[in-house]
Amino acid sequence: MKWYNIINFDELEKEKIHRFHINDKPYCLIRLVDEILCFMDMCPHQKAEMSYGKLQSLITTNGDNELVVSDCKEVITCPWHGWEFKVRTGESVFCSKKKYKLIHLPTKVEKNNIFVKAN
Amino acid sequence: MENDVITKKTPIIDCDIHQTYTSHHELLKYLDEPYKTRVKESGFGYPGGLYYSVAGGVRKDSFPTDTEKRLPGSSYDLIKKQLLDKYNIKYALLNGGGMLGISLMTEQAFPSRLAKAYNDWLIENWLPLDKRFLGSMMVAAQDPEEAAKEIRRLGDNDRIPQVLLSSITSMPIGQKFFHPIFEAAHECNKIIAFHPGGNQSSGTAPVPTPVGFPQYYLEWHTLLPNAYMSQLTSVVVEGVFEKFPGLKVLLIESGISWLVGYMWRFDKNYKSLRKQTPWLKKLPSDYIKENVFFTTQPFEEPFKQSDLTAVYEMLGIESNLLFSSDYPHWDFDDPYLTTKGFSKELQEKILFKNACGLYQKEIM
Repeated sequence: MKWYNIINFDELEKEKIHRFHINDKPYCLIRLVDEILCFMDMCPHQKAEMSYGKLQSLITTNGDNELVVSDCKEVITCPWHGWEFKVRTGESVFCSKKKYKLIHLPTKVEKNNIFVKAN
Repeated sequence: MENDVITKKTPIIDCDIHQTYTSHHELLKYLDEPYKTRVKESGFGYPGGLYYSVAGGVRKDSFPTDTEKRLPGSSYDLIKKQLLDKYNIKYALLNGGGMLGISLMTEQAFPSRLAKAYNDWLIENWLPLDKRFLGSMMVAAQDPEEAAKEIRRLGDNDRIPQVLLSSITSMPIGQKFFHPIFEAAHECNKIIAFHPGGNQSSGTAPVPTPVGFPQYYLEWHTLLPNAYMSQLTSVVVEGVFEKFPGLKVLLIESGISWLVGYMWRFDKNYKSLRKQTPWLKKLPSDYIKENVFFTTQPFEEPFKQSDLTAVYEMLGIESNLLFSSDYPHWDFDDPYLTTKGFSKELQEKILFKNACGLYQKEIM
């Protein structure tokens, strides 16, 4: 595993999916507020490319079947079957089991550059 | 171990893909007046969807970007790239997009003309694009005599091996009113396929469930097998397979696992209640195993894959199950992942051997 310089911090638009490759493998990079998150561009369900998906708010309920929409786009939705994943943890919204998680990679920001640790 | 698993060289027959026109204007040249002007001014007018899907209707990566055609399923190049070549598909059944609602229109003549126009459009615009394409013809079920004429008109076209009907009809499809359709299909060696379309409660369709209207798409989609259970029961009990013994019926997107309890219950009831339908000579499950085929998508996904294997062993329909992707719809299934966990023998049957038998095709 080594660190790869991917993009300048200021160039990464907030709440947009930035797709990039390391050694021909595709990844997604997302700036959520000021957190930088990276995961493999592959849904754990049927391997769809998550970069075609949408960043969306997490929709929950207040207990009375009324919908509550989160302020930030903290969920990525698979472009095929609509599975939702929490961008911060990679966990699916419906189950925390590892087999249903996005595969995250470590990130860091140094001197305004975003690095991702990958093989 | 290498010989025990399928590879990406394994041939695949995809029994359900949805190609489409970009605009209803593409069909105008295949319509006569007054229908041509009607479609030009008002579109097709068949009933559309009732329920809103939060997952959308199509894969988000299926919108063409390099062509003037912007609707998913309208670009041959993209279908070729994302499906035909990617998965080593040897044959793909073109089932169109949306046209099934014609069978739920209140009129008879106009929907029959639309079906004919669609079929001519399919033959002229899609089948020549790729020798791997096979087509399903549309007919308007509410006019069985015209539907039968259309089946016979295309009877000799071996690129169109089946007739596609909505899984929803205004009354059970096995009833005598519809028999001209089965008769023509039987005579012309065409499969009768059912696919969800023209949503329940739209047009002349009955309400979506026996208890009325569910609120959400999640409920509607989960309950799609309801319609297939009703239609399959009707076809068997009304004696369609006794009257037309060689007829093959294909249920697309019906799901499969429900068949276990369904066939047990059906057979048990038959043993006690047979004398009301004495034209039946066999157990209902025997008719189903001999005459009825099923596609895989949307494949059931239990937490333990071995549960699915157990279900297939119970069903005894290994030769009746055919792969389908439903490209480019939102609940598309990948052929390799769909069959993962099954024996190589069963995978090959599902991916191509069973379809080769049903469609009488050989793969070199």
